[in-house]
This record gives sequence, C-alpha cells and structure tokens, in this order.
Amino acid sequence: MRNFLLYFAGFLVLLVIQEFVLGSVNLFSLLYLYSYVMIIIMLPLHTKTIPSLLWATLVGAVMDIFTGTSALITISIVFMAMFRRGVVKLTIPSDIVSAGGVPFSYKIGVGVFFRYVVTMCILFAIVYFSLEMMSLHNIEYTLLRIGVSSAATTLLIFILQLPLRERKDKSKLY
Amino acid sequence: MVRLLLFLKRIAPLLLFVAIELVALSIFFSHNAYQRAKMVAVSNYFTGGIHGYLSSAKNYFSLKEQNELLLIENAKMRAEIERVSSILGDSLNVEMEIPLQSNFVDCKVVRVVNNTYSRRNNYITISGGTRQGVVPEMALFNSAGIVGYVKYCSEDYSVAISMLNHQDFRTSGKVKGEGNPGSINWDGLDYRRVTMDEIPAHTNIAVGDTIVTTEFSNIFPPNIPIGIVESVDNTTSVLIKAEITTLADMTKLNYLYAVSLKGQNQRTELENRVNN
Repeated sequence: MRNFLLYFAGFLVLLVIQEFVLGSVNLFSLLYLYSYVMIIIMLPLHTKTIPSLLWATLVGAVMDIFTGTSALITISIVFMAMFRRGVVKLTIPSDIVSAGGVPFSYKIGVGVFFRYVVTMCILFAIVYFSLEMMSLHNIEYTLLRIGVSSAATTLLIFILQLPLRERKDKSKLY
Repeated sequence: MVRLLLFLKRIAPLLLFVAIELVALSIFFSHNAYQRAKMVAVSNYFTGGIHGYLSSAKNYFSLKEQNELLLIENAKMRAEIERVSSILGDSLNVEMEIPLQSNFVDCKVVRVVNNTYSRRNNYITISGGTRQGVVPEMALFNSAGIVGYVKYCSEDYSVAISMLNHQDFRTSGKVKGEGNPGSINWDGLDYRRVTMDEIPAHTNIAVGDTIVTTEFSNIFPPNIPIGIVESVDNTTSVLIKAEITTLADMTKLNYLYAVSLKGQNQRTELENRVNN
C-alpha cells in the first residue's frame, strides 16, 4: 500500500510537471515530452503484466482527462505496459532482472537504462502518433516525431530519476 | 475444468489488455471526428473488399442455379422460335395444305443423373418425369447434338434410350442440306462413333460433312446435329455406309433439352395401325 501511495504521489508530481511545464514545450510540432510514462517504466522489474496494465489505465485515464486527449494516452500507455515484461527481458540482462527492484540507472547501468527506456518510449510514441495522425501520408514526419519525442523523453526520464534512490527493503517495493 | 481455468489465468493479461484497449478505442473514436472519419474510410475499404469477395464467392456458388435458369430460358426460346418459324412457314407456303411437323409441342430442361456409355445397350437416367411434363418418346439433345430419347417415365425420373444403344436406338439422318436419308445406329463398339447406313449410292457424302436429323423422325425435330462424317464406305454399289463421330460428348452429359413434337401421338397411332 505504501509503495502504491509512493508511486501515486510520484504520478501526481509528474502530472503537475506535464500539465504546467512540459505541456507548453513545442518544437516545430516535432517534440512532445510525455514524462508520465515514467510511472510505468519505473515500476519494479518483477511487476506482473496485470498490475502494469492497471497502473497504465489509471495514469492514462487521468492524463486524458487533464489534457483532453480522449483516451489517446490510455491506448498508448496500456499498449506500452502490455509489452513491458517483454522489453525488460530483451533489454535488461537476466541477472539484473532476477535481482528485481526498480530499474534506476545507477542500478542497471546507464547504457542498459537508455536501451530499456528508449524502447518503451518508442512503443508508446508509435501508437500515440500513429493514432494522432491516422494517415500514411507524411509518414516521414510521423517517424521523425516518434524519434525526436522518444529520444527527448528518454533523456527527460533519465534526468528525473537521477535524484531518486531505492528503499532498502526491496521486498516491500511491490 | 482445471485446465480451462489455468488457460484463462494464463491469458488473463491479454484479455484485460484487449478489454481496456477496446473501451479506450471506442472512446477515442467517438470523441475525435477526424480519426473516426479516417477509421470509417479504412473500414469501408476493407469491408467493401470483403463484401466484394463474398459476393464473388456467392455468385460462383450460385452458377449452377443460374445455369439452370438460363437453360430453362433457352428451352422457352427454342420452343418460341419453332412456333414462330412454323407460323411463318405456313404463311409463306400457302400452297402447302398440311403444315410441316417441325415445331415442338413442348421443350423441357432435364438434368442427367445417370449415364452409361461402356455397355452395348446404354441408358440415360434424367431428373424429370410425368410431374415435370416429361413423357415417353421425347427427344433428348443438348447444344451439340442428339443424345437419345425418353423411353420410360416415373413421376420424377425418366429413363432414356441412349444414342449408344445397339438394340433400341434407330433414327434417320442426312447430310446437312441434302435430301437423302440414311439410318443412324450404333454398332456397340466405340462410344465416340455411330454408323449411318442405307444411304442411297447417289448421295453426295464426304468426310467432314455434318449429319443432321431428318423430317422423317417421329421423335427428333429435323436439322438437329448428330455428328461429322469420319469415313465413307462406298464399296457396295447400291447403298453407302458412313462412320459418324458424334457431336455430343456422350461421356459428359449434364443438362439436356427434352422435346416432344406436334402431332406425334397421331402419327404414331396411324403408323402402328399400318404395321399391325
């Protein structure tokens, strides 16, 4: 329960950042920073798919309400959450995964962290921008938006998680 | 039951994912006009294609039915042509007191349900009996040529004497455009050939000529194709004999026309009286 509250508090912080700071960032309509995906990305490595999906639904629904995107964020973040375990297996070495815990960069290594986060961000961005554009015209532009936004969000998440540290009692993380 | 529960447990994340996504997608498309329009266009493209394929498949499977309808229509038109040509013939030949018996009384379409061609005396079973208006002595032919005539009828089926019946099939034939008839029969050997004998020696007959039915038959309408002359045996000085390749493929009979001739009963009755 405590962990749930911690994550929920973290989500509220991200919501405020997204709504009041990142929401106004716009670089030639190419850059969209979606910091709220950090909640799903930073879930403990042993988190199963169903809790991930429920978290994603909560985050997506709240973000959709605040940003007026009518389920677009929910669709994208739930999609990302569905494939999280697969991405973890693919991008993070098995010994780190079996150790469990929250995937901070200081724990899993910066390189592995970037590989994991950028894959997750791309999964989110593919669904988000594809549904937003809903067209194969200007596919290059859509791909550029996916690339730029995923790279920038990965960097943002890296920066945001730098001051955070895992609590010692790992068993209570989730 | 346990296995089912285990299976459901295993796919629970997928089911939850699909459920959430379906709800979210329905909300998304119902609140975004642009995306909805795009989605409708895409779905119309696919459903249109699927409908097209389904329609093609449906048409393909209904070809048999359409074929039957066409054959019935064709039969009606044949009967109508005969009727009109008969009227025109009468009006043109005002000196002719008795009109030619060339017009059909009736023309039916029947389906072959059984056909033998490897025996010495072969028969054709057709779907269509007295209930459908098929009666004995009706001529059977398809678009290629004659194949036989109806012998026995039940309510829904009839048995016909095949042209490949050595014992019971006899009719008259002539070279198309010529006047001298010969007798068509089957020697019981090759299902692709019949024999035309008793042809007068002065008849102009050559390999490649088309043999058709004559006006003398009480079963077959005149000028229905029978076959093509394959060889002519004129070694005897009085009568010629010819081998005829049948035009109708007797091994692949499917739908046939069954026709009866006008005045057929009267003629049969009279001829039987003389013979008796």
